[in-house]
Amino acid sequence: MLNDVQAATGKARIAVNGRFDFSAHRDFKRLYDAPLRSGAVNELEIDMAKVEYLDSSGLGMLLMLKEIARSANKTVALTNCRGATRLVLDIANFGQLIPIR
Amino acid sequence: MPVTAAHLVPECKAAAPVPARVVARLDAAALKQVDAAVLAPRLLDLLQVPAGDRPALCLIVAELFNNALEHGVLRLESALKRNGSGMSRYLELRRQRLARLRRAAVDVTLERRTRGRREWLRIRVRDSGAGFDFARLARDAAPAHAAHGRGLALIGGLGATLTYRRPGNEAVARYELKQAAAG
Repeated sequence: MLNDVQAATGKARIAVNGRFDFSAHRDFKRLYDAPLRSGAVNELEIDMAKVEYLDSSGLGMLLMLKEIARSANKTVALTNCRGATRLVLDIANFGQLIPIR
Repeated sequence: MPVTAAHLVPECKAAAPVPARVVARLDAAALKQVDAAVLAPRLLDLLQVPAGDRPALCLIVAELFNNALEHGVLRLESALKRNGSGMSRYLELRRQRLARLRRAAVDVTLERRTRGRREWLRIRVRDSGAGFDFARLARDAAPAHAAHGRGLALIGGLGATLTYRRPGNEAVARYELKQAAAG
């Protein structure tokens, strides 16, 4: 469901696929763990292109990641938010909390 | 396939009535297998809710159902989700308690109501739990940046109203359809 992490210039890209709700927590954590600890990474970019379902528990996990990243002096951003995913983010005014590119 | 009168003269085929209400009762066994992401679209499909309103309604139904299951039936505390390790613990408890669930029920009722040209969906979710102090929700609403409490904020953001009935094991949401029903 969740796949690769690619380190680019200071940015780690994490692609999330399928369902992004509470059931994705363990996989999501596995994906962001290494980039969070890497000194070469200063931003975690979450690619939402292949998210099929996003609900409030998914939003909660993103906010939690933002907090954890902040204490590691890193930022979080979302990219490729489309369709129903974009709708949920807009309703939640999420762009005010995490940058959406 | 036999040819029917409907095939010969399609314009005479009587329009099938749109269902006004669907009810789903999930017992412990069903709660272990069915999840909100699957249940919500199925029920909305049965009710023939217009496509334009489905994303919002899926969110509302899923949210109320998850709350009923996690807080009502499984007695999980939202506050546990405040940080990363709390979230892991919450999910582990959820898994354990759901696996051990013997007797419980969550009833979901979706009903279309019209008044003149306006149409609403009434969503009622009731669980077999003991309820909670819902008055506290209004007083202690989670701030926008908090990881928990996002669901209720979403429901409000969608323009739906939400009320609880004592002792708090029944939630009723009302959402006005934006798209006119087809036909």
